Amino acid sequence: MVPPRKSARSRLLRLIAPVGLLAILIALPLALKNNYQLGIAHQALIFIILAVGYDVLLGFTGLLSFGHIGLFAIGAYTSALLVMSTGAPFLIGLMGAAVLTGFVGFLISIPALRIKGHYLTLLTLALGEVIRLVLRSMEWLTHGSSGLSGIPRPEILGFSFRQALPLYYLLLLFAVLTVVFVWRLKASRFGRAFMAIRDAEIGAEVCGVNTSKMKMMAFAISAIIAGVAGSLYAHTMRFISPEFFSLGLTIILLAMVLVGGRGTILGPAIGAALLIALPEVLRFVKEYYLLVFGIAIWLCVILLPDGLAGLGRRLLKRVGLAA
Amino acid sequence: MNAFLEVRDLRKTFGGLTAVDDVSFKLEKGQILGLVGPNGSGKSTMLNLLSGVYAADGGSVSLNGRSLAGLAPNAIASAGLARTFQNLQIFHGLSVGENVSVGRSCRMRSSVLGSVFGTSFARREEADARDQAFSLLSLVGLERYLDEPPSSLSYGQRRLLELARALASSPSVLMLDEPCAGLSQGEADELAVLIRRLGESGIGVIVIEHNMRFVMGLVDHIVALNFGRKIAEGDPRSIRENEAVIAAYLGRKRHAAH
Repeated sequence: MVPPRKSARSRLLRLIAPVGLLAILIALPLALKNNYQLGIAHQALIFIILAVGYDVLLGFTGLLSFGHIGLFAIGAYTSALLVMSTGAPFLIGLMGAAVLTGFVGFLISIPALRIKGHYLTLLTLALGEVIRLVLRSMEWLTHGSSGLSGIPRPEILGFSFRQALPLYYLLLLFAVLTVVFVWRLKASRFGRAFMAIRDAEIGAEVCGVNTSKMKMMAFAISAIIAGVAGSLYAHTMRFISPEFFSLGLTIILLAMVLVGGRGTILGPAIGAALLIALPEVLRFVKEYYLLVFGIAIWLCVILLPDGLAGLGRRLLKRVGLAA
Repeated sequence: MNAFLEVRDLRKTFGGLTAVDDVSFKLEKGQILGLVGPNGSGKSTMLNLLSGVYAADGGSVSLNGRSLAGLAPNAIASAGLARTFQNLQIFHGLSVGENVSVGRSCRMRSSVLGSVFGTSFARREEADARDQAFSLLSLVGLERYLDEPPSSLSYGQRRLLELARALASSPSVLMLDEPCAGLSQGEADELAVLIRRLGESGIGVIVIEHNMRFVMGLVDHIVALNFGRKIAEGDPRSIRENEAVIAAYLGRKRHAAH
């Protein structure tokens, strides 16, 4: 027996949001007035990568880690130090960052196999803080709390991304690659296994899912993406210091995924862009910024339990478009 | 005849309570075995031991001569033992078809990069998984829900979904924990026909069920438990007339049946 193909119309509809979003992102620099705004866009793209990767762990597999920013930091420092102290090309720095964070993510997953729920969150919270403190105290290597400055902008095969505009498109390319990677992963047996673990762990195990191996993979994949994002961050901002990678940033990352809609791919991407852009848009409220920001997140959580992606889906259903 | 699944002196205690007390039985290839007993007699614990959800405190289980002792649930699934749950374990974030495909996990081999880049092996494996999900859903009459969320299924249909999912691993032994709950009499009769067909295809089936009419009409062999002990074993007719079983169900003072 042959199952029916998913209808061409429903497949087309599923492509509207991502393709529309991509078109907007490609055209966006035309609307940005100066390098400062382009800089905000750089950060938004980097956090899209980070949040989409974090969602593999939080949204797909249902594991709440508070140590993700620590991995982001390791990626940033590894890449910056590799390039600055050995003169290695940017891509080598990026790959070094990915390999090292992937390995650290794998190490974190070992205790995570035995510890569940809130205890896992506490453990990863501690690990994230330890990573930040180690980066601060290893002065001979990281310059401690004064941070690393003068990190070179990316250069690939002689082509320099020093200017803000080419850099924007390089970051957009990485963001698109990440989204496509995670989207393909979600549709594979791995994505199904991750989500099965999230929904009913014992059921998944009895169905033959090697839950330990799958959790390790989710940790490692998510960590590798954090490493790539970290490397891009270091070479974009050109300055990193341990204080940036604080617990506060962990909470913002969590908010990006929750506001966007966990377990969806576009959701965290939109959440990331929104939470990076929001402080800029809210500049006029000055010192009340955090108050407005807090209320906005609070409303999002109450009114949009499935995040912005869930809202989009509901609207599509309302107008009778969704299959 | 060699036993297909052999359970010997299996034992499980929770603190001071012995939930399964040195129970032994055998299951032949293609045999349908009913596991019966009052509430709390150790039936579900037995299934949890066999599927590796609980670790046994003593005894052994072997499938085709291979010991399953100490294996993780996924390795037991891989060895050919599949089950459904009394308290459903449905993956609500996946479609009905994807739920079934998770059951095939231990038979799939594609790598992360193979899946992401869509190598021909990964693509074929993925297409096969979808085809198989569709045929198994057709078997239990749920094929039109292939791409729907499990929330669109009734309680009884979710049990059938679990059955399809358990079959996705191509098991040699299938264990069903109260498959009739939530089914109408008509649906239960259809399920009995399906289970008999599975038996004829060579799958050994263990059924826990309170619907006695269903059990008596379906199974070849019955193992009756009470307070974790095996109190009787035999064909349905002999069990129906067994004094110890009647006493266990009706709560009469136990006769010395053995």
